[in-house]
Amino acid sequence: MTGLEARVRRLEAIEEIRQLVSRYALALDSRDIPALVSLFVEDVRTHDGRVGRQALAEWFDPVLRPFGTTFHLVGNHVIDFVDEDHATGVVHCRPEHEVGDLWVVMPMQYWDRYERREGHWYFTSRSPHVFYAADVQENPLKVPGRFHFPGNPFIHKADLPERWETWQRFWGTDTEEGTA
Amino acid sequence: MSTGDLEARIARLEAVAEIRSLPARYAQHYARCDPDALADLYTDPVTLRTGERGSRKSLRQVFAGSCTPADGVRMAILHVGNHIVDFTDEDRAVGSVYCRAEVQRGNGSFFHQAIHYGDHYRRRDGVWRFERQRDHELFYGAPAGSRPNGLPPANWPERDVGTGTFPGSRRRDTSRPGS
Repeated sequence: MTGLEARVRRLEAIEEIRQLVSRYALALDSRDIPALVSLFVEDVRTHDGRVGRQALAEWFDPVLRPFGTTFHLVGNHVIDFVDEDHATGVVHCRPEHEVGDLWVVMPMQYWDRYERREGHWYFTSRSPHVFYAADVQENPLKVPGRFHFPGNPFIHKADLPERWETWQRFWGTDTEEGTA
Repeated sequence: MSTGDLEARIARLEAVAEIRSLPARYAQHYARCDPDALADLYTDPVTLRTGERGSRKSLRQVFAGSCTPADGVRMAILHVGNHIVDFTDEDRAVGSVYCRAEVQRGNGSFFHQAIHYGDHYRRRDGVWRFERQRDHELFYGAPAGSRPNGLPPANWPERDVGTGTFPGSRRRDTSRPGS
């Protein structure tokens, strides 16, 4: 492969990975589960230890039922390449969810892994990490654990920014200081 | 890999970059209340939401009419996010765009909306533009500081706030005619 071709391939990869994230959001908000799972590699591993897109579809179904209207707005997307066929990403997402009489906003990040198979890029995994979850009329800082999302079947806590080691070191809350 | 193939791939990347800029430019010109710049983002003629073909000039009047009346838009904060682009051929593409808007009207109302745009892009004379008036659907609209839950339908553009029609149960067909 010439140098120029490698550069074009890299630009195409970035574009395709960026669109994976937008396609995921649209498929999720549309509750289009076949489209959603088609964005993942064929041998995707589910969070409950199974393999394959069908298993992923079965995993998603109950996870997406406890809310009405949802709106997954995405923004900043950092993409780092491991090699020509593997990359990682961090994506900002500000989803809103109709949860009964509540409107729950949950600013978060997805920590992603991507892989190219037969010329196209797919997710191998997505891991959500939440800053807070709160009804629009609540002050997130007054919510216990900064997490109020009744009935969320998959995400149960906020772990950002405290999870970052750099954050812990900056504020002196790392294990060397003796905190749990 | 031939030079021609490589050139075609680069041309496609350039097309995507140009297309990606269109929703951002739209948001910028809308916020600046610049109907001329907004109209210039469209082909001439352009397909209107009614399905009819109209002139770019007539579309300009529509944009001018959104800022000027007493209850027109004063401040529009349009945060554009997700953007899917699918090419139907070398000179045509369709797009799906998410936007979170916070809008103030001259009558004092201040509301936020979660918007989905359905776009049709066309390259003519080397320039990519919107070929149709953008499909604009709400997930919802709500007054600032309020929940959208339980609001009556907005039936946009009749009302700024209320439940929306997207994604709804409608067919996701990229060749859907206007309205």
